[in-house]
Amino acid sequence: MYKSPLLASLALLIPSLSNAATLDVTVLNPDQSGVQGMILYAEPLEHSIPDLPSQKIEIAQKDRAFAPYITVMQRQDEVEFSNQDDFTHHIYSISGENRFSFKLRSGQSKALEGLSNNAGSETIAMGCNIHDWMSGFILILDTPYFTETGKNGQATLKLQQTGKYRLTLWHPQLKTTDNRLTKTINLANDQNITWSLANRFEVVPPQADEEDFEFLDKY
Amino acid sequence: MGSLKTKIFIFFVTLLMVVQATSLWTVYNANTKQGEEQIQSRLNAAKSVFETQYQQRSYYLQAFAETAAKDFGLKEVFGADQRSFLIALNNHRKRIDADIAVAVDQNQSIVGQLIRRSPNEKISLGPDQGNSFPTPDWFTGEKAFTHLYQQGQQLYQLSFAPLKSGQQIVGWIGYGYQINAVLAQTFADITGLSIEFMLEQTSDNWRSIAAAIPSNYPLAPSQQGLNILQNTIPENLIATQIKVGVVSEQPLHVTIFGSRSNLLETLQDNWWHLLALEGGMVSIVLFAAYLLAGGITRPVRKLVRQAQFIARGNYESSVDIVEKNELGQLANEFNQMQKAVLVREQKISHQLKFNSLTNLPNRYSLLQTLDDKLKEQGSAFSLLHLDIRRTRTVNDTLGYQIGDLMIQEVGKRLVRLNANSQTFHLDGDEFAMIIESANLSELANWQTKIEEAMDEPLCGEDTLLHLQLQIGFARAPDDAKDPQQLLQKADTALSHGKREQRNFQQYLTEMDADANRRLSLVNDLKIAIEQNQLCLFYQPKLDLNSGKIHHLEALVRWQHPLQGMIPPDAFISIAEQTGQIDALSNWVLNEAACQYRTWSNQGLDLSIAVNISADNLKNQRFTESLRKIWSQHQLPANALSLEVTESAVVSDPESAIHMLCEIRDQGIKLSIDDYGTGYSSLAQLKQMPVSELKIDRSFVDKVHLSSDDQIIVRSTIRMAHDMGLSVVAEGIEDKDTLLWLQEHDCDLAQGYFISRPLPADEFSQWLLSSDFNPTQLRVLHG
Repeated sequence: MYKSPLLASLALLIPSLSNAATLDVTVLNPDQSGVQGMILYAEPLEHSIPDLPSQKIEIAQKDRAFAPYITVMQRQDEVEFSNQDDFTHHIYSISGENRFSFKLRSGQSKALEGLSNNAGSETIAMGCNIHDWMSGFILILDTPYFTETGKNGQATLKLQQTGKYRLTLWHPQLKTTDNRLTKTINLANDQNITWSLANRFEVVPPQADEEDFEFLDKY
Repeated sequence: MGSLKTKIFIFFVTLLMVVQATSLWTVYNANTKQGEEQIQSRLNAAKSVFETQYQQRSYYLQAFAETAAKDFGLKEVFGADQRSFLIALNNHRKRIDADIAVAVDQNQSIVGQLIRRSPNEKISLGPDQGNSFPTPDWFTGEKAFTHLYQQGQQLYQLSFAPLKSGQQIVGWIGYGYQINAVLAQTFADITGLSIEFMLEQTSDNWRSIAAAIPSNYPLAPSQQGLNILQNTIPENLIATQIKVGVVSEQPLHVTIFGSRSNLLETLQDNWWHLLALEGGMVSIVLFAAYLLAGGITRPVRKLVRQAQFIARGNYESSVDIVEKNELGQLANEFNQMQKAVLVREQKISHQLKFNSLTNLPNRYSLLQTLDDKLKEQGSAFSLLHLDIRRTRTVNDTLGYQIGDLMIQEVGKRLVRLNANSQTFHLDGDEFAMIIESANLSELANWQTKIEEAMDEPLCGEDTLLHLQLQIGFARAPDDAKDPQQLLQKADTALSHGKREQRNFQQYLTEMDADANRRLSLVNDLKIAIEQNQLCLFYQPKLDLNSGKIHHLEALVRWQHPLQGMIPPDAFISIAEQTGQIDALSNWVLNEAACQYRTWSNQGLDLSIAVNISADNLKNQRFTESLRKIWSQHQLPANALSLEVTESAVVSDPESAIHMLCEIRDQGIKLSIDDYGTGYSSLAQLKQMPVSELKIDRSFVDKVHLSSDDQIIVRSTIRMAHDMGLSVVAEGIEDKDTLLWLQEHDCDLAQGYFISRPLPADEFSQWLLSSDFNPTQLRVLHG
């Protein structure tokens, strides 16, 4: 469901660093079932984050949906929208100050730079003004430590250094303030964390028209 | 009032009223129920209309808000360009002419509030612009919603829809309509009922938000609404209420109400129609009942009318009722009865007017005919009163059948002479005849005609009957002008004729005086007997053997103080008719007895014969009174003898003969008077205990001239002698007769030739000086 070339590159990078540590987190529903697809990121509280090179992250519009649904990026990264459908999309965001709006014809791509200049994580909710049901999110972070919970709600973060971190769970459907849950940990003590949600996490709504809209296949 | 027709009519009316009342009552109940149901259903409908309307407005607002929230133009400027956003927000508002538009951001701050407080006001920026939304909990969901929203004193029905960036809700925009008079009016127009929105600020503290009253419902809204909410709905109202929602924890109610009478107006109209219908029906049925009652009673009334007709003697018409029912039968019977009555009345009328024996018009008819004739001016006619002679004797001796036959025969012969309508059978043997003439010579012709008609004797049962009539007549208008009087005069003439032995007697005025005199004699006779106005005359019976007189007949005379001497025929019949005959006979017997004593003392031995009446023999005590007289005067048995006519025995022969035998047994001698005039049979004669027979003067007075009379007298004398009876001949008026009688062995002779009847003194002087003196004889022959 979600693909991140960034995460793959990070994984390759981390073992080369000294004092590296691993943090295992399991996100559970109140019924102890694992919550999949939850974004987990850590922000070091006691040391700075190394500068990393800008990457180009592609967000495709394919089959009338944003792919991936959630895109996590660091502030310096560049985002490129790529219309892989054979019809036009009108992509927009009116989330806070990260506003954009453009039409993307079939096969065209458009890169966006400098999405945000603010410090701290930001969320951009995107939509298509033509295909009302299309929905995508961009999470802009100042930390390279982020991952996504897997099948059983498990996620593993490889951190460079021990020390205190602020751990955050984010998901646009998480019914909390800013769709986030945070906690502070000391990696020296907490390397294995089980994070139980107070409310059951609802299933992510599909990016699809709620009504049967068959004629779309023909255009 | 109590007529059958009225009763039937009243019955129908009562029945009708009951039916109508029942039906009205049923309809009234049904209508009342229907009215209530209608009210309820109307209220329910109104309620439903309101709820639907309100709900639809809510959906409409939500749908619109959702549409507006998806407008990219609006989205683009939301949170970016405030002025443009407000314009966009208002642009949308204008499309539905909403009274309020609100935009809220993610932090529940009011980023846009466009509002107007009344329909006529211009839209303006609301006072809450920039403030936090007062009820942030509205926005926790993700779907569109509708709520009541209060801004100042105004209430709005407000729908919000989320404003999304993709799937993320970045704000809410809402549009709404005010709860105001326009809404109320719309609803009132649809339902035709009054409507009012009331906000319950605190309990029992209500505020009217808006109201609408249709122009035809002049009701003060607030107070009514309040009443309704407090469940004190006035009688004249129908009402219901709905809780619309809650704003700021204050419930908003809507009251729906209307005037009951107005709502029931159509029902009332129905009532009028129904009443009019009922009224019409009542009149029609009343009319029908009237006709029906008339129809039933019409034949009855016909019958009543017919009965009245019949009562008046009108038999011509008949009841015409065609119905086959009981009334028809009754009418039929009625007609039958009418016919029967008519026949019977005709019969009675016939009997009334005709004599049943001869079928001739009777006395009644005669009087009517006379009445009619007398009324005719200048008509002169005569009335003959005819009487058949000896009818009674025929009846007594030959029987009533022969008598009737005789009467019928006379009737027939008279009719042959004179037309039916002029000949009347009055009664018994009396007839009357009207002759259209008062001329005496013509009447004399009639007498001849009648006598000729009666000439031929009637042959009946071995007998030849001679028909003899006695006729009296009176002439109109000279003799009388009145039918009764005319008949009376004719009758008087007849009676007179009978007395005078005349067969055809004209009425004369003197006869009335005669009749009057007779009448006065009736009264005077009693006095005469008591006061000795009567006296006895004596006529001797000469003994043809000895030439001496030993017997005499006492004849009673009446010396009336005013009228002088009255002949015995005149008053004896009166005495018989008036029941004084016993007293008269008694007086005569006593007087005769005294006279016998007187003469006996003078040395004259004269046996006195006394006439007694047939009526004396009917009195059972007559023999007793005879015995008394004999003992009182110490008479020898043969001092007095009694003379009885043949006819005295006729009416009741058995008892009469029985009595005569008793008298004979007392030693008293009896003789038959006027022998030969009656119809006594020889058988009767044989039975009669008499010792003497007196031949009627009619055979005697011309016996020396008529050989027929000689045969009768001679054979009678022989027969009497053979039966041991002595014979007396009376009516001797000359010497030849006396000699003839003497020659033919007649025993005694009596008549004027010997001596007329003399008073006692004169008689004794005459006797003593005559050759017939018995004492002398005794001396001579002694």
